[in-house]
Amino acid sequence: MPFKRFVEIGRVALVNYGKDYGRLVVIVDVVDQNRALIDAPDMVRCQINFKRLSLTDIKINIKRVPKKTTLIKAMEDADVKNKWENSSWGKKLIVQKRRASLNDFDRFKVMLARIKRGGIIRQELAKLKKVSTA
Amino acid sequence: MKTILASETMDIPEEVTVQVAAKVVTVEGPRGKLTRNFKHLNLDFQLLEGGRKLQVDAWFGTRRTMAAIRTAISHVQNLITGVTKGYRYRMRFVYAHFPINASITNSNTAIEIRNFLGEKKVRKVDMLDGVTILRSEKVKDELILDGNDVELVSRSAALINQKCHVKKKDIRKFLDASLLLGFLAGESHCSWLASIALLLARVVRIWDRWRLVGELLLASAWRPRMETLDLISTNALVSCSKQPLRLHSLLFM
Repeated sequence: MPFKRFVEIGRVALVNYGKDYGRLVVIVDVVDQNRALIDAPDMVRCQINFKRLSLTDIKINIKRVPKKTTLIKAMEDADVKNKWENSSWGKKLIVQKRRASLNDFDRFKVMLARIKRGGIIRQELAKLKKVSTA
Repeated sequence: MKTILASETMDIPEEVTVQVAAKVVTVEGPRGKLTRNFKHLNLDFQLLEGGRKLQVDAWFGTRRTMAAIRTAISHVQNLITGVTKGYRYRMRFVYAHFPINASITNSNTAIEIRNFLGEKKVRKVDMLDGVTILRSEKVKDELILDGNDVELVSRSAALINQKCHVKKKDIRKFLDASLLLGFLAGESHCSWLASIALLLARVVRIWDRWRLVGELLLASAWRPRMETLDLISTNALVSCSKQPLRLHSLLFM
């Protein structure tokens, strides 16, 4: 019930609004009560409002405002990318991205696959029903 | 300006178990179980050390919410004493001519008051949940309200008090009432204060008003606090002056 994810130096967060929507960033400094300085390996360090961030469970070990190379090394040591992609939140985002990037042919293939899957499930269910009533 | 974090911790005694879930605090102890809902507060309640400490946090709090931290802790402390020691409120009947008749009905959960100021009207007061009332045997005209929840016990005492208000008369002269005269958490007893009070009561003159003051001093002996001595001395001072007695101000000092 108490809070588990805190805004601290090294907290990995997801940007949920604005130009960098969907990017994983690291909080490297706190500007004031409402804003933080964030940094990521592939972007220029900038300030952002906390309201535009969603905190994740991942935290890395850095000092206040590290150099870019130090930051990249720390992220690699903490294995942020893999941890993110294996977490349920990260997996959901990957699936969402894939679905959004489907073309019409892909959607057609998905439809066929879903029908096939539904058919198999219904067959198994019928078998189970037969066994339970028998 | 908003303070990032303000928090306070309180200790929970051994014989009490406290559970907190979604701002509803349940306290269980030897005398029973009490619950209190803090959903109207914007605070974070946390049990630490396996239930031995309660921490209350206010994140980004204004002055108001930070003030509420300490009141929440006080409320929980009252729950704890209610569940370990209980609360006892004593009330005395004060009358000049018409004796106030009280009968306790309904297995100690209701009281009927008759003959207040000679009126024919019968005043019935139902005690709130978990509060019992009895007439004290040793002391004349005294009511004892017992219960676990201080809010309910004190409210029952207030209900009785409010039923016995004098209407359409000069209340400085018509001093009849049933008055709250002290409360205890627990069964503590100050006998040395009682003896001092008795001495002072004898010293104070015996007029109608002054007899009331004497009874007040006797009753105030039940207050197990050091300020009672100051209370007694100020009472004696007030009674020696020639001003009309303001009973209410005397009592709630």
